[in-house]
Amino acid sequence: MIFLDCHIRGFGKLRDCKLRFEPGINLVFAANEGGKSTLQQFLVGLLYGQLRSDLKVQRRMDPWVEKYQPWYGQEYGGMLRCRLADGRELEIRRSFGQDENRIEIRTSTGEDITRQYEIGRNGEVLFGRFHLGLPKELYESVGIVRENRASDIHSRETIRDRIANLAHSGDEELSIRKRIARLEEALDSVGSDRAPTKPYKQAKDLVRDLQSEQKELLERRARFEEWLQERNRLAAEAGRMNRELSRTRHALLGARRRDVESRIESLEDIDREICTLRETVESLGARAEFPADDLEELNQLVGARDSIARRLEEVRNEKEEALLRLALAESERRELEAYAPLSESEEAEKITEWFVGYLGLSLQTEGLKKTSDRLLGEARDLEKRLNRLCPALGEPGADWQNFAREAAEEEQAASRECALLAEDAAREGSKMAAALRTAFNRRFAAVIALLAAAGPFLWRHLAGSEAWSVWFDSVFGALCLSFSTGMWFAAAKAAGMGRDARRKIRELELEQERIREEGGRKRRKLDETVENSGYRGLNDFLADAKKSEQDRRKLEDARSRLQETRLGIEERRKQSEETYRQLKGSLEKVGLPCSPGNLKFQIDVLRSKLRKFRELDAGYGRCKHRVDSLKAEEAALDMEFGRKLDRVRSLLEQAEVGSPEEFREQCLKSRKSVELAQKMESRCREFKRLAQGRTLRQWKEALEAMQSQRQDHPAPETEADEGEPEAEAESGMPYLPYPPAVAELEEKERVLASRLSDVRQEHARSVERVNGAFQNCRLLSEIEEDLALAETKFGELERNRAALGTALETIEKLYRQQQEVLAPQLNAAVEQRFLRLSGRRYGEVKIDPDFQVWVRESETGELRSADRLSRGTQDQLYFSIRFGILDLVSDEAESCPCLLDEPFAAYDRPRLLEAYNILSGESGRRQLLLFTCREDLLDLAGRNNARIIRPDSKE
Amino acid sequence: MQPFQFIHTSDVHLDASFSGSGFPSSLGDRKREAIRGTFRRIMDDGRREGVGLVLIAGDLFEAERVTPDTVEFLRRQFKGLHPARVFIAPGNHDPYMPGSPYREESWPDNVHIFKAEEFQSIEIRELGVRVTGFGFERPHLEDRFFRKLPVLPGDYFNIVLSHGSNLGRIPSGKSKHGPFTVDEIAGKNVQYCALGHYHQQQLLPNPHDGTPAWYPGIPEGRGWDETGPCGYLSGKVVGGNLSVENRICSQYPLNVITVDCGTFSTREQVLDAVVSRREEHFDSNTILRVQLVGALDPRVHLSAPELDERLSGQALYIQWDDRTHPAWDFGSLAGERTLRGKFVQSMNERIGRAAGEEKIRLERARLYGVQALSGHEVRLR
Repeated sequence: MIFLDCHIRGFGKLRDCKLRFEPGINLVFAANEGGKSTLQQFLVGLLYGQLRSDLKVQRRMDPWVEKYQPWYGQEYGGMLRCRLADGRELEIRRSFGQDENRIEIRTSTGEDITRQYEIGRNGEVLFGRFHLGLPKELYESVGIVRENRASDIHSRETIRDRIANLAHSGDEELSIRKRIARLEEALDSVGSDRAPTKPYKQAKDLVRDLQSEQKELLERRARFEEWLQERNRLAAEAGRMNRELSRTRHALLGARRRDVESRIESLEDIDREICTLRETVESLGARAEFPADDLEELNQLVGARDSIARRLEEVRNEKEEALLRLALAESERRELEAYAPLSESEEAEKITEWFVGYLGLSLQTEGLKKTSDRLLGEARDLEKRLNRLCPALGEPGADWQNFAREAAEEEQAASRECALLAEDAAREGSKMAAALRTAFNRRFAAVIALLAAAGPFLWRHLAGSEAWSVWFDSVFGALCLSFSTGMWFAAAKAAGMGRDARRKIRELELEQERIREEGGRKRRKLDETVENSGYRGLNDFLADAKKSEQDRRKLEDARSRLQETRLGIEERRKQSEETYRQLKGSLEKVGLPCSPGNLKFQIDVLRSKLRKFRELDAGYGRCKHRVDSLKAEEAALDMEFGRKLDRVRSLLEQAEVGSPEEFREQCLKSRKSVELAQKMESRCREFKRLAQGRTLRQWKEALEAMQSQRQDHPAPETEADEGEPEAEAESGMPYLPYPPAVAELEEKERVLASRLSDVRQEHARSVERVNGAFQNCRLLSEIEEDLALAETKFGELERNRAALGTALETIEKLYRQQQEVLAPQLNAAVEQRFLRLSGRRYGEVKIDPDFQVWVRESETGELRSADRLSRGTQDQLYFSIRFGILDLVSDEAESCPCLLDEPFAAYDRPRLLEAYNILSGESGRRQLLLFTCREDLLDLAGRNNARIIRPDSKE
Repeated sequence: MQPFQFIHTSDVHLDASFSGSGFPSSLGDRKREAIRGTFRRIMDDGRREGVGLVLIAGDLFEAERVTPDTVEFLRRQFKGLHPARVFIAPGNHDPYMPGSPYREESWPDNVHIFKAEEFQSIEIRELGVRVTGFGFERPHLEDRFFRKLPVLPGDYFNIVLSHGSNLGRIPSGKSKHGPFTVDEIAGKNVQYCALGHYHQQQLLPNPHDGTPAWYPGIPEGRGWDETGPCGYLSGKVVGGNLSVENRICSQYPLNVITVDCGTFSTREQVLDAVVSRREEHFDSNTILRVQLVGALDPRVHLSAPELDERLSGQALYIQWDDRTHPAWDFGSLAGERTLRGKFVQSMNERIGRAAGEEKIRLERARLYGVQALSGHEVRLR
């Protein structure tokens, strides 16, 4: 599309202004506030209209509509004529304003084709979008290059980011990465399960807590209903028991009446009985002061006195018999008086010990003598056997076994060393053979060389040939001679080496001989000894040598043991003599003889007499002790008898009676009288107990009062079964075959009252529990309301989380896809511009999926990053990218006019020149409208035949 | 027959929960207290005017939420009405079943509760009135008990008391409990039929014999479909002639207004639109729901706390129901040859295939993505 001309009827400060445009560069020149921006907005407004494009339904004005109200006149709008790529010329007329939104699109023939265009939902005719392929926002971002955009590129990140922003969003300033980060921030602000301070987790926890509170309250409510039923049950129970208690109390009143009646009867009976008892006591005539209590003591004293008298007689008889036995024992003991010291000391036990020791020592001595004889015989036999051996085996200390082992080891060592020497000798032999072959070969070569040296001379002189020159012959001969000489020396050296090897072999053979000689020395000596001793083989000799060694050790052992036995015999003999001396001394003390021949008999006599003495001594002691004890008992009994007799006399005198029998008779009378008095007293107590502090008369009055009270308070009716038997109602105790006693009824009343009290207490507790069931609890309704709100909030947060997650995921996925697709397309679009602009100084442009830009120098083939390029080249690259992106996002068939608003404000003159060249290059592809206030740019454009437009001057 | 007055109310829903209406518990407490206050005023009216009967046609309280305190409150209110007689026909929210206060608690002598799912008649000789009714024994009752209503003797003024659903016209969202039709009441010698269950006051048209059958409606609005003033019915019988009067008694009425935000570009415009309706639709005692609809300018951020702050004191409570949709032209955006265009295109395709919650999620994802890709702040709904 190319703008041809426009007519601004009224737009900001511009009024009735006609401007003409041309293909290529159009420079719109005006001072600041001269209407450049107004013209830009006018052109965009004509293309895209005044309604906001982001609101699909509402008809809302763009903010600029208010701003660019005409300063003069009422008409707000204008006309723009343009030519499309297919050659058609279209004229678009628009009126702007709150109430005006007219649009007309006509062809060059004047045909109104407005209705042929698509209309947005907000009513806007989509002219610009249809022809340029760009929505309004995108055209404003991509089709308009704002002031100073190119000048502040100063780092790689800036270039890359701007390319990426442009490529993705169509807006240099809008970074997709930052937008994604913004979404991530929003997602983070919502939070997750792992972020306890964020709303999501807090809302979730709140929901959980409220659900838990609700559940607890519902459980409590279920319990509450049980408590209600329990309370009602207890109330009913209390009512029932109260009625039962009333019935029991009525029955108790009846029972008490009956009880009083019977009590009065009993009291009258007891009164009569007491009168009868009093009369009987008076008729007995017993002494009131008689000491009847002493009867028991008297009976005991009389019995004891008689018993002691009998015992005293028995003791005296026993004492006489004991004195006789004591005299007899004393005479028998005196006969063995000599044994008394022996019996009292420990010598008696030692005699036995000594005797046993004496016998043991004798037996040991005998045994040792036998052992000594046996060892002497063994030693003699061994000596004889050793004397029979050959001289070699007879040498004490000769270890032939060890000698034979050493001989074998030395032989083996010598063999190993000889084998090693043999290997060395073999190696030296091969060396010698090689050296001899080498010497032979070299000698043969020397001879051939010698013949070759002489050959030409011989040929010249013998055959007269002149085929080779003399110089050649001489040189050839000298070379062959020197070679032959060298070979002779080499052959001599090889022969020397062969001789050395032979000498070494000889030395090794001698060394082998010497080692074999030394290694076999012990073996030869051993063989010689065996032969001289008359043995056929070494094994027989070594077997005998081993046996003789064993015999020699046995002989030494036998001699040692024989010596020890002899010493033992001597020691036991001395001990036996000492023991005998002690035994002899002991026997002499009791007058017994002592001889070694019959020592056992004499010891037995001593021991039997000693035992007899001890028996007699013990019998004498027992008799003496018996006599003494009987004497003591006799004295004690005699004394006790006297005391009893005195006490009996005292009691009889005190009772003023003569004998114990008379005492007993008086006692019987007294006791009968006491029994009757006690019975009378018991009846009186019974009367007192039954009367309970009242008189008989008072009881009768109480009975009368009870009868009147019962008549006044009839029994309460039962609740359900009015047909309760009368007797039951009367007794209060159903199913009993007898009227219940007062105690039973009192017990029942007590039990019922107690149970009623318990039930009432329990009921009171139950009421209290019901009343306080929901204290400190929130209402279920409150919890439900809070829970509903919390769930709603949590649901919203969850929905937002999911939505943000979906948006993020989708954008990131598309972002990656777009990078992969866009980078190559952008690469191609940029490359074709940049290579031309750079004058083929660069051969290639590379834009990777991360939108990093690289260029390859044509001369060096080196790839350079965009941020390392010169400022001018960066400008070229920047504009190439901008226009390349414009190509990518706009309609391919229709080149989009590009508006550049003071793009080179900060450029110096050389850079401005280069930049202008870039635009000149692009102007072949699209129409460029360059808005500026720079005079130098105006000159530059003028010199380059660009169209100069001054909006403030009417054309 | 002596002249007498009666009060007819139902669906008081003491201790109800407002979780379905989205009330916070602080407001719920206030509203529950208001319901109790309204009921007390009704009883006070009865005492002051010396009514002979109080007819409560079910749903006096919500059985699963009722507190001992409320039961005690009712007991005192009923006792205070003595010698007036109170008749209660339990409904689906307060059925006569184990655990129910009707059954577990003791009630004053002047209170009669219909305990069984069969019609029972109580005669009040001194007034010449016979009250016939039945009560729910379970939360769900679908049997048609009115078919078992006998033809009542004509010696007394006959009142029928029951909780039930008139099958002739069922309000939307209302469940059927104790269903009946008007012809089941006709011809039974009934002079007044006191009903409960429907929350809107209404006199059932009876083409058969003109027996007046009334729903008194809920005395204090409970949900967003119960807006405006609510009340109870006061009846007077003189010489056998009946006259019925509606009495308004609600304390905190509910109301809903709708504001179209399609033409607004600032938050103040939204506030102004709400305030401009104040005279007509709400006052400081109103619990207000503001439904915001239309395509909302993306630059406008509707923050409920800030809106509440600006409208503080204008109503008792304002609930914001944001049903606006962003004013982006997603169809147009999808045509862009940018990442934003591709994103919108992709999301549009996915939204086209989705439904229900998934669709809502994707729409939000599209909105947040476009906000971010357009360089706007990401504002979560």
